[in-house]
Amino acid sequence: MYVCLCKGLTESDIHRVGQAGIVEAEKLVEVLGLNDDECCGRCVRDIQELADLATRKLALQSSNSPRCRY
Amino acid sequence: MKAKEGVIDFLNKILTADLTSINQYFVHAKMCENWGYERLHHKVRERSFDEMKDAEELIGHILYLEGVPNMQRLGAVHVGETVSEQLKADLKSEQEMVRLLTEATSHCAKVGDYTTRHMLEDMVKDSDRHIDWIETQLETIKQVGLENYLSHQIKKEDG
Repeated sequence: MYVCLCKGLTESDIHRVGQAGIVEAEKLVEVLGLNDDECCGRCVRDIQELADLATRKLALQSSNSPRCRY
Repeated sequence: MKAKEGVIDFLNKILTADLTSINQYFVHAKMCENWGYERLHHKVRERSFDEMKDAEELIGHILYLEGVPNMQRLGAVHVGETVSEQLKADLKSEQEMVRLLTEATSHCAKVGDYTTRHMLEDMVKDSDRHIDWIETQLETIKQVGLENYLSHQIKKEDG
């Protein structure tokens, strides 16, 4: 699933960032630029879900399904 | 004609869900087209247009009831990266829509607005039809496998 349409970020992008050690909500916002002018801020409303995704607390919905694009 | 209490609020909530669905289904339709899944492209595009017709009716009805249609508000657009994800996201949106429509229908009956109630009941029928179609696709995928399913969505070459 896409988690931010403004930035074109997917669940796997968040997972990758998490693997690089960025897992806190505030850090994610800063590193991914979710608070800049190019982002509408809708995804920040669910920032805790993104933080959980970064720490793999949420299972990646797409991890077992074949990709059409990637 | 003045609206009965709470009816405009419900109609605007449904309008928001509708405008959100139009965008979600339309981007899914275009992604399917881009992947070459011509059959899915047409089916999902049709669903997006159905939502647009509902939005048209809602806007007209809100104005008829002397309310202001809120075109500004939009919910979260859930875009799937794969066909399966798209179908599941759309199913969730349709189920949420049915929940909202049912709640609004009950409210209309309570305050005695039977015209709005009748209109919303027709919209529930459309959503039920959409849910049935999506559930069929998900069940087919389960039975024949994703790859077999997708191979039947591909555009036929000319000639």
